[in-house]
Amino acid sequence: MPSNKNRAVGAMIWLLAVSAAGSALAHAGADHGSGGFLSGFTHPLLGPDHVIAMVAVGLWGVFLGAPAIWVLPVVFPLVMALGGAFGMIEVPIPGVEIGIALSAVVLGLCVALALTPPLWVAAIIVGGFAICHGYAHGAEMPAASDAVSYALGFVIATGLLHLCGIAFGSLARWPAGKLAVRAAGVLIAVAGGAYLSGVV
Amino acid sequence: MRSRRSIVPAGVLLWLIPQAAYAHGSLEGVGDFYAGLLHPVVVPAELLAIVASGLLIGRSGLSTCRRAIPTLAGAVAAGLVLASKVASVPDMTTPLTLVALVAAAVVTTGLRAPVWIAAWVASGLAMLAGLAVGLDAAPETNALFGALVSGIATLLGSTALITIVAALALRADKHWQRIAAQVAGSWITASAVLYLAHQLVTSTR
Repeated sequence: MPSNKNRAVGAMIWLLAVSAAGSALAHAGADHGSGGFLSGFTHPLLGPDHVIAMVAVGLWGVFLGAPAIWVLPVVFPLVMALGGAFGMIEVPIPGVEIGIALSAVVLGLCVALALTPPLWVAAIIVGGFAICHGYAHGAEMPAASDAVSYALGFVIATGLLHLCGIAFGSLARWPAGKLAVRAAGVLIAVAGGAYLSGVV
Repeated sequence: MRSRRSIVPAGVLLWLIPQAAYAHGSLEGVGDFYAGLLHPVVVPAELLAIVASGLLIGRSGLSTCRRAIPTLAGAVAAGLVLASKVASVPDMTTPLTLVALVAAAVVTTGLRAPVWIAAWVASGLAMLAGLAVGLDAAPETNALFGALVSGIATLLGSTALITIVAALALRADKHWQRIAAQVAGSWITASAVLYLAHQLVTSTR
């Protein structure tokens, strides 16, 4: 009987193999190789403003507790995809860049202050920012050739950033960990402020 | 220890094999059997459709699995035969993504329909997914034997994949496992929405 660790290693290898295949296949597009899984996967990871906001969503989910901790990772990609569709079909949404920078400030403060509003309030806040993030990235997506792989990589990377936030946020069960998580919220808010003010 | 020793080389092989894939349906250098076997795994749209259908089938119960998995296998075989009869097969990426979208959206909602409705919906989507996979995975080799081997391997690969995913979903009785299935459904739905919006934009420009 393989241990759970071996199963996890096997699952990770399988995931990596599939990930590699995404960039190698020339299935969906006429021009090969410029799109693909790795392109979509790295796209959100290379935008620091996107990274800190996604991590903040995960961190905040921990403070909000169940069911928010799992509702947000389920709902966020869907709303973000909707925003991405808006971006692609060029639905005019003003202040998207401001919304992205503001998302880090607001979500960072929510984490720093350990706010626990009702779920519907949290969903509206997170959903609104998800539209902004999706819109910005969706507008850039048509350049990709292998659109299925690109979209899959993009969504998985965003989801993994959430999980990173949740994993780090789970330290909050200890007093020192709670302090560390709230400090991370402060850092995220400060970084968002830097983006918002144009310092970065 | 033995399992770890077998997992690592298998993973390395899987990692390396797709690097030679430059054309639709043909994985260069791996032979007809492995090209066909790996096709449902390395073509993202096929993978999404099969995984989403598998999740839906699995959460619909064992009786649905007993009906839907053979349905998918039969549809894959029918699609492969159909593809060999027509001159040119259209791109099946959009139909595959549509099937993935519908199946994954149902999984994401976590809604439970009456058993007979769930069984019919899951079987219907499995049939569509299978047909699209069969058409999409049509062997490109001109040799009859090679095409036969590749087609049989695709049938095996797609049936094995949906069986594994359905079994995992069927056994997901813990809360976190059901959430994990919903998260997977959500990610597939989001990916499908992005792709379909992309297709809409590129087709209208």
